[in-house]
Amino acid sequence: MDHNRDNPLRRFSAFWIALLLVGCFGIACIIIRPVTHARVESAYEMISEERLETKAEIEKAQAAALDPEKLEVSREASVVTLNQTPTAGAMPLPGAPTN
Amino acid sequence: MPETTPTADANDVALRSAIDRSLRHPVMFFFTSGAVWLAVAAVLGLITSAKKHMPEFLEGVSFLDAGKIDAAHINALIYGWGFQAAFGVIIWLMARLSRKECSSPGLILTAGHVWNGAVMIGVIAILMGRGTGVPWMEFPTFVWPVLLLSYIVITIWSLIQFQVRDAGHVYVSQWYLLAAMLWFPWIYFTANVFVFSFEGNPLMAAGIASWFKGTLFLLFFLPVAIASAYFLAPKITGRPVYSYNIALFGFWSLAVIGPWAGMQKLTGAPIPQFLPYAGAAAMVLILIPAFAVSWNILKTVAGHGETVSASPSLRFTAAGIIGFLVFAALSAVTHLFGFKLIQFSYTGYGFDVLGLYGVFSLCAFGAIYFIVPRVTRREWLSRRFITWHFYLSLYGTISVTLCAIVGGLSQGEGIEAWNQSFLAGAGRAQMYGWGVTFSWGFLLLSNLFFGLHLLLMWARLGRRSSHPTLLTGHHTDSPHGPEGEVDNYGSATA
Repeated sequence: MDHNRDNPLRRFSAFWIALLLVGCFGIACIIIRPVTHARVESAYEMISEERLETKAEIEKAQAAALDPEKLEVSREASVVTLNQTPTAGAMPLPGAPTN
Repeated sequence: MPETTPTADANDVALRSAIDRSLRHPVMFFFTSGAVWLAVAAVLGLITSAKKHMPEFLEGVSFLDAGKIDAAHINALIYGWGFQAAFGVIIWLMARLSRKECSSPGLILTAGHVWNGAVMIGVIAILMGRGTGVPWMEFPTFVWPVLLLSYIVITIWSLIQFQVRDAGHVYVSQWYLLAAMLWFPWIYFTANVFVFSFEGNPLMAAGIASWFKGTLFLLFFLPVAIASAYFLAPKITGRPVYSYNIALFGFWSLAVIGPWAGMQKLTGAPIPQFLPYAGAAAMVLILIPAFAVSWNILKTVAGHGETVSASPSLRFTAAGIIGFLVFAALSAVTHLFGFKLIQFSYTGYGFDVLGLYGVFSLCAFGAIYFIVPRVTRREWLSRRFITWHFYLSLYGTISVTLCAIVGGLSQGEGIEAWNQSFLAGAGRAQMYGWGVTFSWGFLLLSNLFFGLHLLLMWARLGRRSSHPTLLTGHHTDSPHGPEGEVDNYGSATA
């Protein structure tokens, strides 16, 4: 048996060789990264501009359709109606006894 | 022939004893903490399986949601039990075969604690809903660098031991150990960096994640199991390995075929067509190393049926090697003839358990039953515990595998029947799910026997005896002599 193979220098070099072996996987990953990573365009990104334009159009149309003065008049009318004391109506209630 | 002189024998025994002593604490730490994680994984597996066929079970407990506990179960099994058992086997076997004492048990032990801490944080994070959702890499992303660093600190000393070994023969077990030690950082680093660190196409990330899942077993757990088998079979039977050429062929066929496995899970996904086909082909071709390895090991122990039956190590190892053959045969058949039925069904889980438990764990148990008496200088306390552990493990593994694979095939047929609802397909697997749950109960019970026995051994409460613990006969009439004697260097060798 050859015991000369085991000496501090050989152990030291073996330590760094082992680290290098493991480290080379990381180095390989970094080297091949540009090859494996083309520009990624997700479907969401591809149609997002168009969707944002549509959204802006809708918001604009909604804003134009909304008349604050008419809304206020309508709101006040609703308040008056809601403040009235309820009275019995002519229409029968569901489940109520009928003549 | 100086090796055969009494002085050389005494020196050899003293060296082996010194190696065992130097590794006592790291090896026992890995085995016992691994056994605890195995029990945890079994409990989680039981709940996971129960939730598959009985969704209302523990439904009010948010951290036990099906998605969380499934991931916690498999990660506890892999990183808690599997890796730690593998660490114990690797560092002991490489030291023994290189004939070098361990010079850094303290560092290994420290790294082992860090590994355990990281696994615990990972499992808790998964249960809290912080998992990544990537199969077999569910731990939060900050965990993997810690695990990789701990792995390097644990195994680098074995690489050094191999490099400074006395010139001469390199054992078959050493090929596999060396390969496993280098293959794991390759696949783990690559998979984690490309999936979590580099921003890229999500399809590519899915492909790499599948590849990692496929190769982790074939390129890490399997080589460690085979290394253990190639050590124990000749050692215990006292015969050389049946064929060195077949061993060489088996090793290189695994090295060539193994790295291609994994992407078959993505059949039909918009990735290059050849990748899933290459993955499926690898899962068929795995039969080649399986035949080579199992033929070689089984021929080595052939004619020693009584030894295989009596030795706990050999009994577990033989079961694990047969498990490998079954794994490869089932894999070949399902990937050749029924792939559509297994792609989205329960069957994959059956293969996971068959590989991790039916092959790796059984071989690891065999190694543990051999190694622990040597490092503790005590013999196993109870033959009954070992026998129960063996039969319950075997029964549990076969049941989980059969129920999951057969149930999964039936489920796959249901999914393929387009005139039925998806739930009808899932319903076909329900009764098999009950079987899996009960089987995890058996596995849990078996591992309670094992864990308790191991803890007693670590506490050095084992038998003070020079006899190996055999599963037949009584120790009082053993040819090794009376009880209560411990030789000057270590425990018995058979």
